[in-house]
Amino acid sequence: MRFLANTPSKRLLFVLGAFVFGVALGPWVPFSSLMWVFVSIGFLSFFWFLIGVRGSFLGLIILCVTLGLLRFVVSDPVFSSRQTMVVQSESDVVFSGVIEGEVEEKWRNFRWTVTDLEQEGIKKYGKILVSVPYSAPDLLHGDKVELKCRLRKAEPIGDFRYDQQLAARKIIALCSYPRILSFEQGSFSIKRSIFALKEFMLFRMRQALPEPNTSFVFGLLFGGAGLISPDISIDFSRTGLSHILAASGYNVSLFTFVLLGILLKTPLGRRWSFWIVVASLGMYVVLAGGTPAVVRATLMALVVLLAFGVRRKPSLPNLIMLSLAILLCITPRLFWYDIGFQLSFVATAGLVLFADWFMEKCAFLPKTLGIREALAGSLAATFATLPIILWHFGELSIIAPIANLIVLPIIPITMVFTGSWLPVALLYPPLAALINLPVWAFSWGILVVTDLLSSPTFASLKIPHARVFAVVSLMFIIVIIIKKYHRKEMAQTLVQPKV
Amino acid sequence: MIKRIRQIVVVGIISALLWLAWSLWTGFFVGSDELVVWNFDIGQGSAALLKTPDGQIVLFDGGPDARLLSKVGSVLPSWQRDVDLVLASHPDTDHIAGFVPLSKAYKVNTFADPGLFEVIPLENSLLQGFLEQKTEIKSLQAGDILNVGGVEIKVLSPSNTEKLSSDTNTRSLVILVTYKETSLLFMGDASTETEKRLVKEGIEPVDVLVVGHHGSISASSTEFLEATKPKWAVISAGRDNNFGHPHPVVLERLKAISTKILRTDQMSDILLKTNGKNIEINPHPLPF
Repeated sequence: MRFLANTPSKRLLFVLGAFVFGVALGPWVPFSSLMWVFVSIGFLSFFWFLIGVRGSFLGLIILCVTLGLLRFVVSDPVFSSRQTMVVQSESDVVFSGVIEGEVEEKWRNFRWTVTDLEQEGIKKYGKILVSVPYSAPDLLHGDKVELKCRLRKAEPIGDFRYDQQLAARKIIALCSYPRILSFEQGSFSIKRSIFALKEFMLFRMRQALPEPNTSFVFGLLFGGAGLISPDISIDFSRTGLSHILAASGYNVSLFTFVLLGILLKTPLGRRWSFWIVVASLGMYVVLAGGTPAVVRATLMALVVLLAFGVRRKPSLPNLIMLSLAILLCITPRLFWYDIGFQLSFVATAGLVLFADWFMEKCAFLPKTLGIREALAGSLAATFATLPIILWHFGELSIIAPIANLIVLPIIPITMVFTGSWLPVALLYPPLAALINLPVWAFSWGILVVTDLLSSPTFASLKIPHARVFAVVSLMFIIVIIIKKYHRKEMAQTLVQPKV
Repeated sequence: MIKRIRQIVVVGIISALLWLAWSLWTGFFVGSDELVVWNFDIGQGSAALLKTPDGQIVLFDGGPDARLLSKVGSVLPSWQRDVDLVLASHPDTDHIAGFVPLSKAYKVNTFADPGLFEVIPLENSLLQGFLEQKTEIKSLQAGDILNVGGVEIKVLSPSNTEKLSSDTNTRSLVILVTYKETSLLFMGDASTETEKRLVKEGIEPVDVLVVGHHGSISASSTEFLEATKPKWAVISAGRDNNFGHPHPVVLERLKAISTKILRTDQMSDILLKTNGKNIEINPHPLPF
């Protein structure tokens, strides 16, 4: 063990990795006497470490695995002091709660996440995802509602574990088109004001720009593909471009990587470029509503920024592992049950680990408008996420590199045009409608290119035995990472001066 | 600096070219003497947009969801943000839900329906959207005639008695659109009961029939089709819909009178252009 962890930096990596491993083990270790065996061994190991006997580092590692395991276990509803609500009801049930987070506008309805549940005066555990028609009252984060509806459990959709994805967000049941018995406006909060502002921005943009352009540029700026029609979503998915519309680490990290690449080429210098990107990320968190997904995405983008934006690079594996440990400490169920998180995190790690290599391979491309960064970044992220995509979706976008090459360089320009047009749309939509040409033209161009590229049948292929390929590609990636760092270490050893 | 200026110029030229391409693409329907009608592929529902020769925009039904906005956005120039007349055939979700987002995005000058919007919440919210933007609200019934930009819109249904029916389909708005020598009949979800009355009242042959109730067997009776003898029939239905629309019997009836059938579930959006004498009607799938 000491041989493997022969520097403080490596020891930190092992400690963090052990915690992550513990969280990952969570679902496979039943909460029983076996768990107490783990806990006992963990704390014995800690004592072992404290008294500093030989091999005590192993004790610390076991303790970290145990802590990870415990963190996962205490996130289970069983540990909540509240009772769990009946999640499947034959007849309508009445419950009250508070709308949490953003009201999601979907193609056919709105969705509320209702938390602080109460049934017959008793507080209940979890949250309920409620679909309401367009005719529902215009409510916001913090508003209290009393609803009557038949609850149902989320079910897996094919191989996709929709139920577990929702469970990771503590959503225990679904409710469609309830009877709204009463609602009460919530009190002022910053979060509520941000969501109201976002809703107002969308409203004003819609008055000045046609659809689907509005939904597209809104998704581009603030994340969220819910407003996009299912047909267009499929086009984006088939061309491997869905990431540009998601509040994901993939999107924000890639944007950070491309923006930083462009700024570093200007006379602004490294320091100013770094702080401009930090300020952009800060603004993004506020305007995108500061949801957990947005904060996670921004944290990952900071990893990219530290990896490429500072001269003295921190240890990248440590940085990635630290961010993962922090995120899992906050929400342990993300690891296995949230595909969005998996893709986000792995795409960021891929960018940090492989973007340089892909940049070298893309040297034939011009650097104008960040074209090289865009393609290299996209390839690095796609390469790293390959096992996850194959495992969960069994489908692979063949056209993704070309689509990304064409579309990604236009994204920052589209964002800049939209960003400068937005204040006019907020102040006076009729004027904004007259000057919407650049925003309209670029967004329309991207939508049409995506539509055209998704048309060929070979754009996206269904892979037979995709899960086998997923495992093989994962092993391939692990081997590459190990080889890459082994080579780096060897190079460092060779250049070390003799004492 | 020169490089930067060059980049901005290139970006400007690309935008202008895209704009020009789009203007040319939509240009065939701007400032001509043609009446243009789009029957949108809106899923299981119904929505049509009419552009009169003098450029006024009329919508007949809004489909089941926000897809209407993409369809309207795809056929109108990007700067056009108003609709002159919105007609809602009857208060069923698959015909009017799309008007809720429309009322927030476009300025609607006049909204007209058979005067039935009083009970169901969707209509309340729909009307609220129109009231907020001070839209003129009209209630229509058989015998009313609207003249919009050189095109006559005659209301054939509901009659006074049909308005009292408990069945929303029976209360559906039926309109006859006439431009010079050509005529188009939009049936909404009207049933055979309404058709019987129209045949009794001596309805005349039409060029195009937008088939009632998505081609359901509850509409398009043999007598009615023989009386209207449409040259073309447009059926608005969703792909693989759960209702089995259009019904095979209805398709057979249309074939029996040699009517050419155009279906949105098979051909996507359908574009009709007429100069008042000749009609050109073809599938014309919109990108979004």
